[in-house]
Amino acid sequence: MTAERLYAALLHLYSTEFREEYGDEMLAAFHDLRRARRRSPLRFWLFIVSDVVTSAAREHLDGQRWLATALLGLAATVGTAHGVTALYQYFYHPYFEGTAIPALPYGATLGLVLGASVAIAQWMLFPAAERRAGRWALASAVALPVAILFCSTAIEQALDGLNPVIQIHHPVALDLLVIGPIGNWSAIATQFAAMATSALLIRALMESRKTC
Amino acid sequence: MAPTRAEFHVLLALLDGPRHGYGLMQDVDELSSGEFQLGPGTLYTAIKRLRTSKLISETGADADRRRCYRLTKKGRAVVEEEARRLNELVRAARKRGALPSAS
Repeated sequence: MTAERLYAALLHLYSTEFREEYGDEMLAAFHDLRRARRRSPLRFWLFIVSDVVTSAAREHLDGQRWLATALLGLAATVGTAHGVTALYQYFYHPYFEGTAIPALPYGATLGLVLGASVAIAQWMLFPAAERRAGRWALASAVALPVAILFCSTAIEQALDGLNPVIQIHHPVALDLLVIGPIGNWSAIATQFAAMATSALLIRALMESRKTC
Repeated sequence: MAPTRAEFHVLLALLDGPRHGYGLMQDVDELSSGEFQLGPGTLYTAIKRLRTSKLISETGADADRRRCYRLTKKGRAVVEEEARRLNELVRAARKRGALPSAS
């Protein structure tokens, strides 16, 4: 196997999109670099392999920044839902008995928190030229089902009137969202699996739209 | 966002005019007196980010049919701003004795 063939094989560590755009140029630059080599073969290949591995990892991470925006949006939404519940429980007074937060405005507010925090995260993580409505929609859509799972206890209490003592039966649909107490590994694994599944599904949908 | 070390070196090399990939690698090597060497992977991932941020653009191919890149107005502004920032840092380092005095 020639050095160029070996380098071409290493280029498969990059995404297909990147390889199609820059693969030929990288191969040409590698060819020139090898001809002008000032290192021993071993040091040259160590340099090349570490360059490919680190830059390919960075390139893949750059492509996943939308996932980081989803995680930040998720943390902000879950923090808000549980924060509201904790505050209400702290200041709870029997006078508030039976006062429940209406589901629709509460859900809409949490939705706004999610959308706004994903937008802020995108503003923090992407340079202006890379901010896209599509990335915002993707990150929000991925974070939403997981936010519902992680917020379920807080949402339940809010709909029950936030009374920490009261036990009210919930609609079956709501019960389905309450997987189990946090700290239960299977529940956490289920929640992360839900996130991964929704992420993959939405990404696949967006990819199929792009190729149509 | 401030450019990374590789991005800054590429921008700095392009101040002298358009370059193709290997030309940029040679320039960076020379500018840093051999202390910082860019591999093709680091170079082209930096080029991709700089193009996306519109700090550099493609000028077309040279005689050897290689794609060349040039600095945009925005890229020039960024490299000047970063150079000013680094200059301030060097000045602060001198003041604290981390570097010998310039005089």
